[in-house]
Amino acid sequence: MSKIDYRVKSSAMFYALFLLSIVSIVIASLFQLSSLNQQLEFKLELESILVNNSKSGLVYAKAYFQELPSNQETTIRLFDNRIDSVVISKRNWGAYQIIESKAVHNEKSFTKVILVGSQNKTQLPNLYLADQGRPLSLCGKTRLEGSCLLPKSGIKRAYISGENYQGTDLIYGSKKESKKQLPQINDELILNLNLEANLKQEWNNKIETLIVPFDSIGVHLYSNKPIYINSQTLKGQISIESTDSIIVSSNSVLEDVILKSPKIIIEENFRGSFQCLASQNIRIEKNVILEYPSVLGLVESKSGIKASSIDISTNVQLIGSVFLVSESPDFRKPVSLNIQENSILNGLVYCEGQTQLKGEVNGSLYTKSFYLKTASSAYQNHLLNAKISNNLTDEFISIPLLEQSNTIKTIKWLN
Amino acid sequence: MVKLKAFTLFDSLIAVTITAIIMSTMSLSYGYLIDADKPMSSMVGQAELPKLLFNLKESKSYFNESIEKETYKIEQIVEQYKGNAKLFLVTFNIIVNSKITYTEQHLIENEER
Repeated sequence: MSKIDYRVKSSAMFYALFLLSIVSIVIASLFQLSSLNQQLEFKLELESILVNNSKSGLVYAKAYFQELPSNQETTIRLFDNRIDSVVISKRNWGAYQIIESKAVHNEKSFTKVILVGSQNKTQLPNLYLADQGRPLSLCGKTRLEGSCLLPKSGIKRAYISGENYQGTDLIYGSKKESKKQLPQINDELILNLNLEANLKQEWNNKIETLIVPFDSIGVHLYSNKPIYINSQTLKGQISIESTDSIIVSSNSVLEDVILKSPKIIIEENFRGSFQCLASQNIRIEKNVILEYPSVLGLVESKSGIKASSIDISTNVQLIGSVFLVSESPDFRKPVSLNIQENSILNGLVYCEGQTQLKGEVNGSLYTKSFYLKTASSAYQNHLLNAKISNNLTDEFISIPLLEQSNTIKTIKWLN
Repeated sequence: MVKLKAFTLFDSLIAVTITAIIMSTMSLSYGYLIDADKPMSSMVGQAELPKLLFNLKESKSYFNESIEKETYKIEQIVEQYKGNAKLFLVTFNIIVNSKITYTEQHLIENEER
């Protein structure tokens, strides 16, 4: 019987080399893993840094808003250390402005865009009626709240269409004297209402949905014919211009867009938020809701046969700003704002001409004069069943219309 | 009985040297890896920062502060940004075992103006 040989050939060198290779593989794997982990951690940290930096860039841009050049990129280093480069820019978006902040590091970037408006440091009056030598006459259920700046000739009770003034006080607030002219408006705002910076395209009725983000190039849709926006969804950085007229139907969805045309009609029951810039007439039909931050702006370039106007029908709600100005005012045909019963405008309303107020303004109303048309007659500086209320928050952000010190504030995040 | 046959003394010496190198490399690597990885408590602290920043903006109490937690400390430094009274530079440092493991900086508006 042969003996089994249990002896195993050994080599310390062989074992050591074998162990060395195994351990090397393990160590290399560990290093690889650690390196991957660090890369991932850095990637996540970088994303977080870029997000924070872009937000800080926006804060910086708001603080140095006046110094920032328009439509031009400015690169800044926020903290003078580590990853802190931000490219900021500001541009006009209708009556508001847009600030874009892009945090960059090598190939990576993160962009934040905001819509900004103006917040007045001092509280605006609730009513500013320019002193045209006529007193203000109140009839029916008219109620004036807050601070009112009125002509030197004052305010009185009147009787129209069988309705006496029913209030106990004439003003539920304070009263001061107004000047002959309305406070000067910010001319730059009017000059900056052009829409030329965007990518031009011919208007196409077949567009069903068009959404253009604010961190890309805007789209400017134009036509020489009337534009009828019907059952279409248009959101974002889109401006629509017609040299004739624009009509918006109630089944359209508009958000943040700008409409520019001599005549604009918003059909009844529409709901949305946009800026309307016209030169002749804006007509808002009944039951329309214009959400914040909507703007109705009328800039009359030359006085036509008919006076330029904004006509707001019954049961309309608007939160935002309304302004009517004329580049060549004609005292015989002043621009006119007509607000019908049960309509409420929340925000800043500035009318360089005459206002017929049958509804309510919650906020500030600046007007040169009031007018009132009844079935039988027409009256100057009369208010019948009108209301000016003072329930708007002090922090309301409007368009930078008035030339006075104000702060730039964020209205909404656009991306 | 199993016998392991040794080769030359020279072979053995090389083997011992290699083993020593392996051991020292392993301990160095372990030390490096342990040191390189961010402590978990630092990450917990990082997750706290958005809330702290939000509270700072809401309360408008622009003061330096130190928040001690069980395993880490958050240092909040608020200073005027480059002499601009409208802006504050807020720096958050997360400190674990007396070592700053994470720093985050923000610009915020001075809402008191």
